[in-house]
Order: sequence, then structure tokens, then C-alpha cells
Amino acid sequence: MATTTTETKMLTLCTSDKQQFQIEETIALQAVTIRNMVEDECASNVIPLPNVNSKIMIQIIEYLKKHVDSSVSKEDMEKFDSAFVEKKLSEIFDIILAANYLNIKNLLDICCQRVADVMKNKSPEWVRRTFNIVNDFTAEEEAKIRKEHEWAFEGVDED
Amino acid sequence: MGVEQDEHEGEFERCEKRLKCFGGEELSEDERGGKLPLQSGDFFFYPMVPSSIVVSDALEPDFPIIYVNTVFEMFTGYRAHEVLGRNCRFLQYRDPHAQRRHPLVDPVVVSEIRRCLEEGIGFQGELLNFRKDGTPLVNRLRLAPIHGDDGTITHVIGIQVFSEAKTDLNSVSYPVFKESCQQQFDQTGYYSPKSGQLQHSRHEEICGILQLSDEVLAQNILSRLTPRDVASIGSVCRRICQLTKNEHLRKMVCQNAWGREVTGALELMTKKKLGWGRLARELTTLEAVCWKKLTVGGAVEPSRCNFSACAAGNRLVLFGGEGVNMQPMDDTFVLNLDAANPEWRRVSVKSSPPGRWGHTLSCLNGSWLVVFGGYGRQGLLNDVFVLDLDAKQPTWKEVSGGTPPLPRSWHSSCTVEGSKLVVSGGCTDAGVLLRTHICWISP
Repeated sequence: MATTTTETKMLTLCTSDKQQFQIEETIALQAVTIRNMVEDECASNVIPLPNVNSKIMIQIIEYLKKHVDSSVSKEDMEKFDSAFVEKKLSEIFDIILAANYLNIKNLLDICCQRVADVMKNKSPEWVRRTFNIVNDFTAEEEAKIRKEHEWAFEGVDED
Repeated sequence: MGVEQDEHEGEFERCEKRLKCFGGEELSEDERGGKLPLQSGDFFFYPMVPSSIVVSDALEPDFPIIYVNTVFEMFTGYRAHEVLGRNCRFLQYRDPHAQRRHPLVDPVVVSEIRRCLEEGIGFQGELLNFRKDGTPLVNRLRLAPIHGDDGTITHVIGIQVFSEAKTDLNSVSYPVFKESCQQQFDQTGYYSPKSGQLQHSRHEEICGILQLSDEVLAQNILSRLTPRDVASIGSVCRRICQLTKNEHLRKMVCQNAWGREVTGALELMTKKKLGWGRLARELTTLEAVCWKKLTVGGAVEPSRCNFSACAAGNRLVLFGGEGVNMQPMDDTFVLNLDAANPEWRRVSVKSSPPGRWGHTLSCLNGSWLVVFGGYGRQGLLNDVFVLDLDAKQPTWKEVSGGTPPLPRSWHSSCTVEGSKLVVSGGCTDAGVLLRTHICWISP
């Protein structure tokens, strides 16, 4: 019953907007979620990915294709990674959502590092503006929290 | 195959017998349905543990469960009616609603199980499983195929010995962040943690970062910041504030910033009483450091000024100085702050550098001290002396060779890399400030 095939096995991934992507199995299996699906459900070869849209899927496939290539040197891979995360933050968040769902650890790591780097040594006001976060504290609450963490606001970058 | 089959069946029967007598003697009805003796370690030595048994129908697609025994119900927390008809892999999911296998379940073991089932052979191995309430369990699993009269496999019997898992789930993501802060968002309708998806009607109002789950936000983004950034970012909004208050996150942040060893030592020192938020603040601002008046015994006599002193570990060492009538002093004193009642003591040394003031004393490699320069009876000095405080008979030895820096006083000096003395500035008779010199000293 066990099958071993030498020819390149292809998988079809179906995104939330019903686009189908045919990619080599070795590339797709880097995503642990896809690997689990393939292992658990021996059934059909179209894998539905309802949490990923095609726009993001294209970028993720670009990433996976590069990372499956073992001939790429460590430096080149790092260069690729740092160029890969040079995107708008809104895109980065979409990729984080997808990478988390697909369970691609390194991709999740590099995107989250990008977000963390943006936040480093910044004032709360700056973070709110940059990430478009609504301040939902009441004035008293905010004053209290700021007082608690007064020590942390010294020397942050100029807004 | 026939022999093997008998063996399996025999074993199965033995299990059942043991099980029955176990069930009869040890467990009352209450215990079966109620709290499990999961914590008592002695309970788990192999043959003493009752086996949980599952039978799956091998003729139906995806091997649905057709029987589980009470031991299975006890250990997993799932009742028979909840699991009959399903494939047993739900034990690999941490949450009954989870859509995927827990990341800590070893995929190699899972594919091995699948291979054995496909090939119709037995399997034996260890696998991480979860109780219905999410508690991790180690499942020592044995699968045996049962053949019908015509040789086809009709059933698969799983014999499971469950024991407490020592796995640190906290090293993986989601157990850490409970629903607590997400619930608030449920109420406002902004955020639905179960699906991890946004409610589309509110899409415009939500910015990108708050789409992310607590798990990703805390574990993957906030944890990469410094302890100070985490404290400051807590005042951005309620949800982030809630996340930054999580002790586990704070500990992780401290660990990333200071290293595991340091955080481990801090945890021991403070007996986990201070909390990581407070520790982060104290270490970042060093507010815990304060001056304290210390009354010590002994005295440095005769009294003097313009001496030089430095710390050698927890000992304070003092050398020379200017006594009455501009008398250059050449004596050495030690104050051991580790002593129960610290007191100044004069060190009896075999020989001393010529008396001086305006010199420097620096510590080199723990117990070695270096004196350089200053003003002595014959004027400005540029000699170097070293002393091993821990020697049986402490002796000041002059270090010579190379081109010494120009004679000077009122300079400053420090040691680097345990063997270099850096001398900076100071003045000559004419009052000129001098350039920096580095001397190499190997005690």
C-alpha cells in the first residue's frame, strides 16, 4: 500500500479566492500545516487554504521556492530574507497571518522581526500613529498606566 | 501472520483481565467519572498502569472508532459517545475545536503510524496526546491489526498507556495566552479569537497589527523588543497593555535581553517575588542601586588625604596618600566587606613602593593591584608596582621595562582585559595635561 514515486509530485493549493496554485510537493511541504494535511488526509490532492488569498499566496510561494533551494548560501538567503520583508506593513501583517496559519516558522520570524524593528525605541504615540491603533484608554487610565511606566519613556526616538 | 495474531489477541485478553480487576478493586464509580489520579507519580510504572483500549473499524474509510474502554475515558477526559465514529487523531489536537495537530506532536511518529496502518503491520511508539481539557499526555501506543477469516484486516486495536507529559508547552505558543484579554474584544465585536478571522463588516476600523492573534503578537513580536520597549508600548491601547502584563511574556523579554543564565539567577535571587515587570524596571533604570551609610571598624591611621583606593571584588583597598605636613604615605589598607563586621586593616607587606599621593590604584584580575605614578618625596613618579592581595606574604613588586609613560600625578587609570593598564591625563610640574598611555602588565 505504501507508495514511493520518483517523479516530481505536484500539489494543488486552493486559496480563499478560489485560485488554484500547482506547486511541487517538496516546496509546499515546508509549510507544516500543509505537511500535516497531506499526512493526515490521504484523500484528494487539492488542498484548500481558506485563510490565505492569492495575492499573499504568490509571495509565500516565492519565499518557499527560494528556501527549498539548498544550493543558496547562508548569506544569500539572509539577503533574500531582508529584501523579502521590505514591504508595506499592511502586507507584512497579511503575510504574518498566512505564515502563522500555514506554520512556516522562519517566514513568521522574519516578518515579526520586521514589525518589532519598527516599534523599537518609539513612543506610544508614534506606535499608535504608525500602526493606526486607536487609543481606547480613558484619560485617567492612560495617565495611570503612563505613570506606572514613566521610567520607560526616557530617551525614546523623537516622534 | 496467524501466530502473531494469536499473540496479539492473547495480550489483549490479559490486558482486559488486569483491567477488570483493577477497575473492580481500585476505582469506584465516582473516581471514574470524576477527578483523575493523574498527578500521583507511582501510579505510572509500566505494568501497573491500566491500559486504555480503542478499537477501530479498518473496513470503513479513515478507521472510525467503534469501541473505547473506561480507562480511555478516564485518561483522555472524552466520553465514548463523543469519540465513536471519529478517527483517533483528535488526541493530537490540543483543543476539541482545534483545526490542526498541536505543533509538539512529532510528525515523524504520526507518519510512521500511517505507514504501519497502510501496510497492515503493528506499530509501537510514543506520541504526545492531549486530554480533552488540554493537559498533555505521553501516549505509549501499540497498534495491532486484527485479521478476519479471509485474512483481510477488519479491525485495529490500539493499546495506550498514558502518562503525564513533562513537555514544556510554554516553549510553544498558545497555552500561554488564555482567552482573558480576547474576551474583551469579543464583547466589542471587534475580534473573534476562535476563528482568528476578522469580522468583515468592521474591517476598515481595524488596523493591520490588531488582526494578529494574541499568540503571534506576544510570542513573536513583543517578545523581540527590549524590556523597556515592552513597558512603554503597554500604554498604546488596552489589548497591548493586557498582553504586556503577561508574566510569561515579560520573562521571555528579559531572557532575550539579558540571556537565560542571568534571568535564571535573578529568578532564584528574588525568589520569584518581584515579578518581571519590576525586575525589568530596576535593571533598566538601576533604581535598586542606592547609597547606604556603612559604619565599619578599624581606621586608616595616620589620617591622610589624596590617597588612592579601589575595589578588588568585595574588598576595598587603599594605598598611600598625603599625611600631615605633606608627608607621602606608603602603607596599604584593606576593608573586607564580606566580613560579618567589616573593619579597616593594615596589610603587612614585605616591601612597599615609595610613599606618594596623587597616584592611582587599580585592580587587575581579582586580587592583583597596580599602583602608578603620583607625587613622592623626589617629585613626580612614573613607576609601576603590583601586589597580590591573596599571596601568603603580600609583596609590592616593581614592574619595569619598555618605555614608561612620563612621570605625572592627578592622572586617572583603569585596567582592561586583565593585563593592561591604561593611564590617562594627569599633570607634570608645569601643569600640562598628558596623553593616554597603555602599559602591559602580566602579573
